[in-house]
Amino acid sequence: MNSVLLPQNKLEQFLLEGLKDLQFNNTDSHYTFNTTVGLVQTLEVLKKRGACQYSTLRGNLHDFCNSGIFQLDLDQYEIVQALEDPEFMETYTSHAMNPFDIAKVLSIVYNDNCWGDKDELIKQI
Amino acid sequence: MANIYAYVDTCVMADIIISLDASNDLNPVAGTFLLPEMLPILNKIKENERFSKVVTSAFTFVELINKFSDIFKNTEVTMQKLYALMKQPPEWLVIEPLNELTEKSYCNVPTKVEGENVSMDDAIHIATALQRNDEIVFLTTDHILRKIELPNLKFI
Repeated sequence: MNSVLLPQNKLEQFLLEGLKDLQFNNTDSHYTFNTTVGLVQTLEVLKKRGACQYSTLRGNLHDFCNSGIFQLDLDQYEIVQALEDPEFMETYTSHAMNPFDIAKVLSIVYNDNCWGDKDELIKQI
Repeated sequence: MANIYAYVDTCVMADIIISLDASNDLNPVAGTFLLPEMLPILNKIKENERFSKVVTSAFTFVELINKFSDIFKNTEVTMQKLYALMKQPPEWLVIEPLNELTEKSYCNVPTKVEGENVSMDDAIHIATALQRNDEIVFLTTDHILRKIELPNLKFI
């Protein structure tokens, strides 16, 4: 099973230029994921750069959310599972790691909608 | 009594947690970030907690866990306390997820206010408050956030 996290540059491109009718084909052997926190980070970059009007950003974001890509949200249940997992806590809750990256890892490791090689997905953060 | 929704950022949430009793009943006491002027709002929620709520983001708890030893040093708060709060939130608390609604609201949060940058973590809190699409009081001591003007949002 091939699972990939949409790279930042691709996300930027989609949010700036729109998807241009591109649909993500998620099949039994290939999944494309995106984390909500990763998308928020991309929005932040584009807003700070003044890359486009907020209305354009909103429109492209709407299309992106309907593109078929699997979005990995973060809610309290993922965090609860992390707190039940001493190995995770030891590895990921040091000050060396920022809360955005921790949130992304949580979204991947504990989200029930994330399949495939999670270690590989974490490397792609 | 009208329903009240009060969004709290990470620092204010930390002070609320510090002031909780063993049953996690809302028992607000002024602290470093929980200012005296915020107490009347929280006490009104306590009186009507079936319908009025303290709201925060799941991201708040990621920040609290990330800096647990700094934030909760010299207190009796344990990681088990945070776990219990999230596993079974008390009636007065709503923990909002980071999801598509957060992303959409994030587009409405300014990056600067009066020349000062709004940090990304603060912007996530604002977006989470906005995603309820309801009037909400925002409790924070952050001087930059308090200058933001957005529909449905009132800072205290």
